[in-house]
Amino acid sequence: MTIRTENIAKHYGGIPVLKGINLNITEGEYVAIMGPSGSGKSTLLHLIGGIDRPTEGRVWLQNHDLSALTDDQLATVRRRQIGFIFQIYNLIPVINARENVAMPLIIDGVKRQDALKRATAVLNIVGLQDHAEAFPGKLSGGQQQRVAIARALVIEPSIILADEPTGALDTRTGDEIMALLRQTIHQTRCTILVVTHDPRIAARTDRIITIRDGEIVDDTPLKRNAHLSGSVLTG
Amino acid sequence: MRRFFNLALKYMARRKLRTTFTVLAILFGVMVMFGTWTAMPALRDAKLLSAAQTTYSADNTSSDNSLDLAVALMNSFGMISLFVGGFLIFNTYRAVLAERQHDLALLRMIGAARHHIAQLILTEALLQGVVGTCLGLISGWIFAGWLMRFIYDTGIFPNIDLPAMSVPRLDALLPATALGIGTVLVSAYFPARRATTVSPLTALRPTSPQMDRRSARVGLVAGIVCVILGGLALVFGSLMVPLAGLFVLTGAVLMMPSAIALVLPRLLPRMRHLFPRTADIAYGNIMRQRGRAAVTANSLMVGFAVFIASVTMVDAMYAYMIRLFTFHMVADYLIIDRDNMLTMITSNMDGQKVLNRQMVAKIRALTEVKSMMGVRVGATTYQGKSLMLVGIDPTRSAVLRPNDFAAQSVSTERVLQILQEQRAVFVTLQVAKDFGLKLNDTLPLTTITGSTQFYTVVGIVADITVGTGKLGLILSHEHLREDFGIRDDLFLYLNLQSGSNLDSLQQLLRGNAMLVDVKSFRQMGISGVTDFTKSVYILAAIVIIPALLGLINTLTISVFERTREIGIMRAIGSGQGYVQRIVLVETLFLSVLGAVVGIAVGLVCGASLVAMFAPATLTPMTGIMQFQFPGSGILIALIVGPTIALLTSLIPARRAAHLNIVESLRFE
Repeated sequence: MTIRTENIAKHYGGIPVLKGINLNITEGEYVAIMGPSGSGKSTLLHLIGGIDRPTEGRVWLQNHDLSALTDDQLATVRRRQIGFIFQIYNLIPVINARENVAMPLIIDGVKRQDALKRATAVLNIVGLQDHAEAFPGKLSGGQQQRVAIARALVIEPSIILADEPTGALDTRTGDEIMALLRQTIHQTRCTILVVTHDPRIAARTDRIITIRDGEIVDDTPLKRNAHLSGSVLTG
Repeated sequence: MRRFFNLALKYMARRKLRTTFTVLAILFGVMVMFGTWTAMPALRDAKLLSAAQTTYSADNTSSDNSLDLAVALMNSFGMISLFVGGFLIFNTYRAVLAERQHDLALLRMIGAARHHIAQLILTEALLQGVVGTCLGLISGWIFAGWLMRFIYDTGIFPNIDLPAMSVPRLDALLPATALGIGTVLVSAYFPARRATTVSPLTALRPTSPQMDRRSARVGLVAGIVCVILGGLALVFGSLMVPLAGLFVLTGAVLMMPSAIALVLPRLLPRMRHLFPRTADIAYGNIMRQRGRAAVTANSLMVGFAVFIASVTMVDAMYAYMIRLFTFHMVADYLIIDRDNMLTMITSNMDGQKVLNRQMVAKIRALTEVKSMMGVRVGATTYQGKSLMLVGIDPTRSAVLRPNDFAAQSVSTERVLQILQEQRAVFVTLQVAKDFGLKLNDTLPLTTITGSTQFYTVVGIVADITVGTGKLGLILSHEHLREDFGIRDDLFLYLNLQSGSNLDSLQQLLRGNAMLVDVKSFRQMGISGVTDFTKSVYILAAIVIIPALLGLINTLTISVFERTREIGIMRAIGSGQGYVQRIVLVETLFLSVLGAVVGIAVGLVCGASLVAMFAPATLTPMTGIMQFQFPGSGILIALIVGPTIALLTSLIPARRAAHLNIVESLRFE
C-alpha cells in the first residue's frame, strides 16, 4: 500500500474541514479527487503530502507514519518521495527553469553540476530543452507548469500530488499537461493523486474519489489502464 | 551553505538596492574601526620612535592619553555605526523574509528542512557581509591615511614623521573583518531563525503576512521592560548610564507595532483633515501590515535617534568647550606638558605628565612673570571610594570666584584663607550629594602614608562637577604636599609683565611644555569645536543614509505586496497621482511617528553618550561635559526629517503609480 489514511480529520479554528477520511491507494494508481470548492480535497492532498498535519488520525506513506515524523524528517520525505504540482506553478522567480528543476536535488545535497545535468535531462522529457535558461517570468503558463512537472519528476518520486494542475491553463495546454503526466506514470509507475474540477481529466484516471463537506461520498474505480493510451486526450 | 550559494547570489542580484543598502550599512563601521586600528598604532610607533631619538622627553613609556582618547572616540563611533548597521540589517532581513515568504514556503514544500532555510538566509548574509567588509577594509585603508594626515596636521605630535602606509596590520585586519562579517551574520540570524518556522502551506496561500498579535504583545512587554531598565540606568546607576540609550532604543524598536496601533488612530482625524481622499486608505494599509509598517517606522526612528543623539553630544561638547576656554581666561598664558595638551581638554587625569619642578622654579624666578599659579592633582580614598584631589594656591587663586560657590561658611576671601591655613577642603556639589556632606562636616581622608587626616568642609563648589569614580575635593598645595605627597604642577596659569619678551620663557620650556596664549587658544579651540561639530553632523548624516535606504526598501516591499490591489484600484479608475499620494501619506504617518519616538530615543541615547564620555572630560577646574537640551537640533529634525522621508519615498511611490494595470491584476 503506497498511501493509507486512518480516520483523518482536520479542523481549522474549530471548523471541521475533513471528517474521518479512510483511504487506501496502491502503488501505480492514478486517482482523481473531485468535489465542490471548500469540500476539503486540497486539504486531503496537503495531509497526504506531509505539508500539513491532521488534527486526528494518521497518514501512512510507503509504510511511514507521517504523524510520527519530525518536521525535518517530513521535509526529507517530501524531497525524496513526493513530487508536487500546483495550479499556480510555484516556481522561484529569481532562478531559471533548469535551476528551478534542480533545486530539490541541490537541497538534498547533490552536487550542483550533477543536479543541473539531471535537470536538463528532465527538461528534455517535458519538451523544454530550448527554455532551460529562461526565467519563470518569461515563460507561458503551460511552459511554467511543465517546469513544475519537471521539478516534481527530477527526484524520481514514488508519488505525485497534483492540485488542479490545469486550472490556470487553456484547454489545449491543459490536455498537453495531462498527457505528459500520464506518460510519466507509464514510464515510472509512480502513484498520482490529482485534485480536479474537470470531469474530463477525472474520467481518464483509474479511480475517482468524491469528497463533499469533508467526507468521502463516492469512491469509484474506473476502467483500468485507460490512461496508458496516449491518444485518449487527443479526442 | 555551499549548496545555497547560487540561489543567494540570485536573490542579491534581483534586489540590488537592498544588497547595496546592507553592504553600506556594514561598510561604514568597518571603515572607521579598521582605519582607526591601522592609523593609531602607526602614529603611536612613530611617536615612540621620535621620543627615542630626542633628548628632552622625560618619559618614553608614559601612556599616551591623546591617542588613547582618539582611539576611544573613534572606536565608540565605529561601534555605534556597526550597531546601527546591524540593527538596520536585522530590520531589512525581517522585511526581506516577509517578501520572500512564498519562496521559502515553496522550498519547504519541495523538501527543504528548517536548517536549509536558515542556511540560505545566512549564506546571503555572509555574502553581503563579505562584500561590505571588503569594501569597508578598502575604505578604512584610505580613511587611515586621511586620519594620520589629519592628526599630523593638527601638530599635536610635532616631532614625528608622517607614517607611511605599508602592509595592513593583522591585528587590525582580523578583528575588523570578524566584526564586519559577524555583525551581518548576527543581525541576520534571528530573522533567519524565524524564517525556518514558515509553513510549506504558506506557498499555497498568496496572502499578505499579517502581524502576529502574540508577537506584538510579547514585543510590547519586552519593550516596556527595556525602557524601564533604560530609565532606571539613566536615573540611578551611574555605571549603567551608558547602557540606557541601548536599552531605550531596543525597547522602542520592540514596541513600535504597538505604538502604531496606539498613536496612528489618534493621528488619523488630523490626517483626514489634511488628506481627505487618501488618509483612510493609507491608514488601512499601515494597520493591515503593522509588522512591515513597524520596520519602516523603526528605520526612520533610528535615523532620527542617531541624528538627535549626535546633536545632543555635539551641543554638550560645545558648551563644555566654551566653559573650558572661558575658564582658562583667568590668566593670559597657560603652561602645560606638550603630551597633555589634548588630554587637558578631554581626558581624565590618569597618566598625565606633570611639569618639571626645576623648570617651574626657573619660570617663577623670571622677571617677566607678574603672577603665576599651579594646579596640582592627587588622589585619596573616602568611605572606600576613590576621590580626586585638586591642589590650588589659595593665596594666588583667581581660579575660584565668588559665584563658583554654592555654599561657603564665610566670605570667599576668608574661606580661601582657611583653605590655606587649616586642613580644609572645598567639595563639589556631586560629592556633597553622594556622601551627604554639608558645611563644617569633617572628612577622614587616607594619606600617602596610609594614616588618616581630618579635613573640614568649608565650601561647596558649584562649578566643579565630577564623573564616575572620580569625585573631587579641592585643597591647598601645602596640604596636598604634606598629606598626599603631591609636589608638582600639572599646569600653570601665568600673567606676564606688559611688553615682556617671551624668548627666555620659551628657552626654559625647551619643547618639554607648551606656552599657550589663552586668547588664541580659546579662538583655536572654538574653531576646533566648530570643525568637530561639522564632522559629527557629516558622520551622523552618513549613518542616516542606510536608514533612508531602509525606508525605500520596506516601502518598496509594501508596494510589491499590494501590486494586485493597486492594479484593481487603477482598473476602477484611480489615477497615477492618487496611487502615488497613498504611498506618500503612508510615509507621512510613519515619519511623524518615527520622528516623535526617534527624538525621544535620541535624547536618551545622547544623554547616554554624554554620560559615557563625561568621565574622560574631567579636568581639575572645569568639571565634566554635561547634557544640553538640543532644541535647534530637534527643530531641524522635525522639519527636515519628514521632508527627506517624503522625498525618499517618492521612489517607491512612483513605482506603485507606474505599475502596469493588466500585469498587476495578474499578480499573485
